[in-house]
Parts: sequence; structure tokens; C-alpha cells
Amino acid sequence: MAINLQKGERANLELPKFTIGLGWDINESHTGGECDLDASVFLLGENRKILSDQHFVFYNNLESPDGAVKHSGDNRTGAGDGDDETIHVDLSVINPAVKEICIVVTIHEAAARRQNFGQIRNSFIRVYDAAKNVELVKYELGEDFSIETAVEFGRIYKRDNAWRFEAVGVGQSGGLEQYLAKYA
Amino acid sequence: MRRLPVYLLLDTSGSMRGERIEAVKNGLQVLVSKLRQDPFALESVWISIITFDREVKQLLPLTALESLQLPEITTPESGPTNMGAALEMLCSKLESEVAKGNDTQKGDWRPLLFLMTDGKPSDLAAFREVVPKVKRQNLGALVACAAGAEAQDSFLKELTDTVVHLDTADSSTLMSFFKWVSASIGTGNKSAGTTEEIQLPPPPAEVHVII
Repeated sequence: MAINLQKGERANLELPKFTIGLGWDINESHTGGECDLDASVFLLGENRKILSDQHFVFYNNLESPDGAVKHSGDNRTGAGDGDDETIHVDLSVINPAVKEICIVVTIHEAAARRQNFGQIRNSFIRVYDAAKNVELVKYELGEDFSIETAVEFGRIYKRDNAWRFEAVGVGQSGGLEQYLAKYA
Repeated sequence: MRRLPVYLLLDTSGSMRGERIEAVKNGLQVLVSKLRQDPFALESVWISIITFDREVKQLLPLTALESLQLPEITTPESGPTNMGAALEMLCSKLESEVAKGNDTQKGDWRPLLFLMTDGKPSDLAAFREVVPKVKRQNLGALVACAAGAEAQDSFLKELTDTVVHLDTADSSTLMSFFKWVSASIGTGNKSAGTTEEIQLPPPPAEVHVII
């Protein structure tokens, strides 16, 4: 494969394009409401803050100004097999001021709906090379983050003029607002 | 006396939290105490413990059974299962800790590896990258154990032909597995070097061999 993995779960992303896939199942039980997972991306500059509000790509802002990050749109129920939300990243057209891309997955209104990942069936987030259909990292959210409501999945960062992917895998319970406070 | 290195790779990801990890700790106690009753094992078995969750740690470097003290094993509240990184560390430790034979002295026996997980690897690319490397390590035996309903045999089958599956990851089943591991080490200890491959003793009823 094209990717040369290094120790510490970092990969030099020689691939200019890859896809983040987020999937989950419909809540078929009569208790509880719909389960709505969201994938979001922060495009950060040198200071580890988003370059502008437009560089926060999420369900209400589907594309970054440079066109490097494109969100497939909000799936609110998890209907359908496979990836329910996808984010395409093309590093070849990214703004040179972007030094880091953070990928987070959150449960919408987790506190109000009293939900965590453990209650959402077959939820996963993965990063893969769509052209070769090679999965790099896949987290089973229900198993790996059963008591959390938000996960920082991974980050793509630039070092020595090379883009690298690092699987982060840190969960928390504060939702998307906590990440906004951190990066905006 | 030639050493028989035994490496235990244990999944300590968030889903192991609770009864499962307590059962693993108890199982390790049983494993060590049973081996200590075997005079051959007592003199030659060296054990290392590597745990993997989001981070990979060698909790116990290769240590002689007679002076071994089991480390404290903890699980994070949640997080991924970085099995690929654990196998990468294993290869590194085999390189640095296991003595190869040379002209002037005999080396260690071929190492035994037991890996236990209740899930599947999260770092898929790293896992697939490291599998051929593990296979080149000339291990005496490599046993992968899939514990519980969520564990997936197919990934472990990529790693080794010897895959066993526990239907549930409850205390008594995990205890049976660790007793079988100690019997396997005892067998490996007695027959190491005399045959090409170590014949493992038959597993108990709760431990299914995956064909």
C-alpha cells in the first residue's frame, strides 16, 4: 500500500484525497427518540483555532471556502446501510494556512435526549481511501465509547511539509459546544 | 537453563471495563500460580504482559516466573482498540528481549504468544501492515482468543491459524481460558525444540477452536 505507517499510529498521508464515513442504525425501539449523529471538521491554523467561521464544516456549513472539505449533508436518523454521513477531504486544494484538520463525531442534543453512543446500534466512524477502498482506522462507537456523547476521532496535521493522520480516539461528554470552545 | 519467553497481549479497551477485566486479573493469578507448581516451568518460563487500548503499554517486561509480580491492570473509561500498535510493539520487544542462538551459546526457546481481545482492531491499516511481520517472528505458538459475542474471529484469523472463541466473556469462561493457557505453556515448555510445532492440549468446553 502507498501509506507508510509509523509508530504511534501516525500515517504519512501520501493520498491527496480520503473520505470519513459515519454510520449508525435507526432506533427501532419504541422507547427513546431518533438518534442523530453528526460528523464535523475544524480546519485549524498555526494557533490551533479555526481560520474563520467558514472553516468549521458541519451540518449547517457543508463546504470549506477552498473546497478541500465537503460534507455530504445531515442524516438525522441513520437510515440506510453503510456510511450515513461522509466528509470528503482533498488535501491538494487546501488553503496553505491550514495546518491541522480535526475530525469530531457528536450526538445531536445528547443531553436533552439522554443518549450516549452505547445506546446507538452499529455506530461507527472510519477513514478510508475511497479509490482503493482501504480502511485506515475504524472505531465502533457503541463498543469503544459507550458512555460518551462526543469523540475526537482523529486529526490530519502538517509537519515537515507532509500531511499525517493521527488517530486520536478521545471521548468526552460535552458535545459539539465543548469542541467549539476549544477550537473557535 | 534456556528461557521460554511467553508474551501475553491483553485487550484493555473500554469494553473490557468491569467484570471482564477483573476476570482477566484473576485468570492471570491462576496462570502464574499453576505455572509455579510446575518445576520445569518455574525454571525456564519468562513472562511479559503488553496491554492495548488507545495506548499500548508493556506493563511487564520479560521477567522470570520465579521473581514475577503481576502488575496492576487498568482500563480507560472508553477508547479504541489499537491492536495493530500492540503487535508492532511486540515485534520490537521480541527483537530486544529474546536472545537468538549463536556460535557460542544457545538462545532462548521460540517464544509463545497469547493475544486476547473482546472486539476487533481499530487501527485497521496498522493491523494489516504488521500481520506479516508477526508471522515472520518464528514464534513457537501464536494463539488468538476472541472473547465474547462482539469479538470478531476473522481479523484474528488473518493473524494466526490458532483462533479460539469464548462464547461469553464472563468470569468462569475467562478462568477456563487462562487455565488452558497455563497448560499450553507447560506443554510448550516440555516439548520446545523437539518438534517443529508445539501441540497444544485440547481446550476446555467453553473455549471453541475456530476452524
